[in-house]
Amino acid sequence: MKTNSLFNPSAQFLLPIPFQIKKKKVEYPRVVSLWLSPLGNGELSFKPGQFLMVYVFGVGEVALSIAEKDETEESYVLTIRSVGTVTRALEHCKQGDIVGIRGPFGKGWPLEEAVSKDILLVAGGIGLPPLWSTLPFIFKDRSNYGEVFLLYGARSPHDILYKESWESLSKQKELVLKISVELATSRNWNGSIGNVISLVDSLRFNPQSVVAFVCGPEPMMRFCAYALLKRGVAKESIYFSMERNMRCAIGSCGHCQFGPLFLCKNGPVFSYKTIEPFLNIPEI
Amino acid sequence: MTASQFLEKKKILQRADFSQLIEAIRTKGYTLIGPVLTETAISFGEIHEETDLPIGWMDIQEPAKFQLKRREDEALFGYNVGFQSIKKYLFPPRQRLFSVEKKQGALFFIPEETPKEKYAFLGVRSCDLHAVFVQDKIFCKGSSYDPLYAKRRQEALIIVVQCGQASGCCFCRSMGTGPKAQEGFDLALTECIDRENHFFLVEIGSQRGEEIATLLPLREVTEEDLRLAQSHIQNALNQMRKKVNTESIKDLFYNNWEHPRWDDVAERCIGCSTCTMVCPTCFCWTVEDSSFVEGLKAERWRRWDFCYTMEFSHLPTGSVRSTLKSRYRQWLSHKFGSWIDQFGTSGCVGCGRCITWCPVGIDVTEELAALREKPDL
Repeated sequence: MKTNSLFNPSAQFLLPIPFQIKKKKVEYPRVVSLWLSPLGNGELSFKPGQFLMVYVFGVGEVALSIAEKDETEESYVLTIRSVGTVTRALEHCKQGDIVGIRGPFGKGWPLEEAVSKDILLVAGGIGLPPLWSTLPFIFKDRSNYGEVFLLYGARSPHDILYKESWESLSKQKELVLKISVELATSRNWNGSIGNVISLVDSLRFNPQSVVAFVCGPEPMMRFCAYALLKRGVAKESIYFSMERNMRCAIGSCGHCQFGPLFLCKNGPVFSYKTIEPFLNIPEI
Repeated sequence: MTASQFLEKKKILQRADFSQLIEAIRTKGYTLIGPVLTETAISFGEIHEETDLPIGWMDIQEPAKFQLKRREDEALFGYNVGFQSIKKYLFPPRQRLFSVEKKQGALFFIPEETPKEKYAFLGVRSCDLHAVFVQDKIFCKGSSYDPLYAKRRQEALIIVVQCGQASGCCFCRSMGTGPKAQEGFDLALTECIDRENHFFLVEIGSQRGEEIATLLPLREVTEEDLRLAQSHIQNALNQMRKKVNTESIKDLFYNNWEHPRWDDVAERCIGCSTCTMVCPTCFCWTVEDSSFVEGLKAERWRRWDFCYTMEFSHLPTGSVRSTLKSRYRQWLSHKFGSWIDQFGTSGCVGCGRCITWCPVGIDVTEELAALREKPDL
């Protein structure tokens, strides 16, 4: 190895840059959306499905998918469920606070695979944000695609993300939207009740010409794939966004290994065909 | 001049002149790191003079056993490998990544300063040299590029000592990493002791190595010198008993995730992470964040992490690898299998440290052989 050209001081992949919280919204208890805006000229160019590493001063860093770019606010929207120390700190951040950002990282959803095909987006719970980010990209070139379906499963009517957007979205003629909740104790829920996978079964699409993007808890994604495979969808046409513990996001720290794959740099989006050999191996 | 042209340059350094090598390296501004005796073993430490070296000592290594023993001669490098490699210098166990200052609510991220250390490593074995090549593939390339590692690596002067013996745990021959280092070093020494004659065959591997060599009183090589150096390496080969069959070794794992041997080894493994700590290629790390008490400054540190801990695979839903079986399987299958898919090389260099230092004597060569046995179902 030539050792005279190894050192590149500008390659600081582990150093965050400061972003400001422009806006904060509580989606439902313990889940917030944050609008993050670069200080100075820090525009992020991202593919839907990519993620950021968000650093909270003195607390730590967490991987979060970009839900959307809000052009009017010049911000990137992240939706966070408070489950650990860093996400809890983010839950309690205030408008105006500064956080550190690295990224975007990973491979996003392969929208190019979906050209001239139907697109099936299946989200479970907090798995919605990474899929949400595809919508503006799809609508921008809507004529490139066939039917577009968005299936979203939430625990209850109270646990539905982005409530203010659904009404306008449901009026979109070019989007088939279905929401299902597992538990509807409220009287004013008129939608479906049950698992999001049951929505897949009732859908009319062409299995030979559909690309499915799935994000949610791993068992939900697996059963979604089984349902799609049963309908005759090819393994290559089903994509998952996977989750594992991440520290670095650049394929260095070793935490997110899934068999030979680093979820951070080889994923987090993978075709079912790629990950099938490892999906059913417990504790891999 | 290319590396291969340097490699044809072989000279002889007399034992009596060895201190001049140490002097030359230190004169060039290097911090010299080499083998030193600890109370019970051999490790790497700073070398100021030749008496810091483990002169006249050897090691006896077997699974779960490392024993120092006096040699009959006064060899400077008459041992095999100590419990740590030079990894701890190039990729330190703890390293600050950045500090952050808070001023009027704004955050200022301050990158870690470029490392100033200029290390010379003396007594690097071929296995450990290959381990550096393995870590280069992780830290010097692509997305996982690490400027802190790359800077130290770029500055490092590597002086190999070719092996003249093999321990009861060595298996570099199976991994294709030794016992003789062929290239990638600045200088390589072969220590030859023959009755009254004690000298080093010096192979020059780079311009940097040449610059050191020109400062030394070297003499020309004779046929007899080369024969003696050759027999030295042959001795290491003859002593090496452990073997690994590396044929289709990736598939050995990919086809055997549920082999009963994993349960068997999990009964013996105590999950202590020692094998990963002594491994010269293990690269996993985690971070520690902290803020100073006034709340105006924070730091992020990286430290080695170990796939044997529950926290390693922590998710909000629980640890992905909650059983010791799955954690041992992760380590072994990564080291010998999936590493090849990730970095185009095995993660094992056959140094045998994981066998020697395993408190319960788990021998990876035996585990790999057992995985090749068809399970009785």
